[in-house]
Amino acid sequence: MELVNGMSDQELIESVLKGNTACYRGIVLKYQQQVFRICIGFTHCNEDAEDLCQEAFMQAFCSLKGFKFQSAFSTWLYRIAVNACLNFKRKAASHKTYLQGGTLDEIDRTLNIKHAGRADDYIVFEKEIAARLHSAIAGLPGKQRVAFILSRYEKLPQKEIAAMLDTTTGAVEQLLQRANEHLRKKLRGFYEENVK
Amino acid sequence: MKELENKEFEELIGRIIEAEREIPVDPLLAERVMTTLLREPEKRPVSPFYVRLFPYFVKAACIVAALVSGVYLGTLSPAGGGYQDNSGQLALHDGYIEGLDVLLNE
Repeated sequence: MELVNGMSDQELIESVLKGNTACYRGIVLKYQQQVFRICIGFTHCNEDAEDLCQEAFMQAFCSLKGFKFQSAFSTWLYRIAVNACLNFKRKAASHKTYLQGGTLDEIDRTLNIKHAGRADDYIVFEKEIAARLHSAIAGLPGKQRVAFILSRYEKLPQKEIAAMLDTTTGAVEQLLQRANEHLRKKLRGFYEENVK
Repeated sequence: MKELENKEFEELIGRIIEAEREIPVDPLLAERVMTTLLREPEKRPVSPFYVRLFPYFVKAACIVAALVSGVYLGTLSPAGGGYQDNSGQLALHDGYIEGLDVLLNE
């Protein structure tokens, strides 16, 4: 377990609960990138992901008293982040304010660096695939989407995903297989039309 | 036309997701969280000791107030203007005695 200022998660949490709020900074610094990646997986938008990340840490802080150390703190925190993202998506869908493709510029920049020297057409093609992938991920059924994002964006082991979803590792494996199949179907048409 | 094989699919989405995974979080996020937490103390999971002890302070103050007022009221005479001495007998205050003297002298 990674220690922050020589303190474990449990020590940091106990210190926060004793009233030493400043110790919470250590927890935020330790998990912010992981929580952010989960939020990016749901929103594909930097600004929204940062807002959700902040919201997740605030919610975790307020509920810290309820954390009983029965699971890893990260599992508990990721579950809060996932719930915040799902609520956000639900609200965004009802208000129709959700703008897709927020991270496409970032992807574009990264792909430009990685594919330096490759034809511009190829980069445009991958950017289009990225937009279609985002849309396909958003279209996945609830548990498949959560399992896929936790597995691909945060690279969590199936055991941890199973703990978060209150299910078995076998069920998670099935969810991931179905999610991959669903996404492949969605991307197949465009890919086959454009790649000769 | 080229079919999207499993391997190509994995590579394709792997590259896209990896590009998103590389996006760094705002380094000021922790500062923002901490500023919000310190600005909104009601969101703290535990209150400072003086907030936690506040109900006890109130109870203690009420008990003291009740005792003081009880003692004070207990010393007042039900006849109005008098008070009870330690023996519990009604005693007359100076003003009443002075008035009595005036009447007797008349």
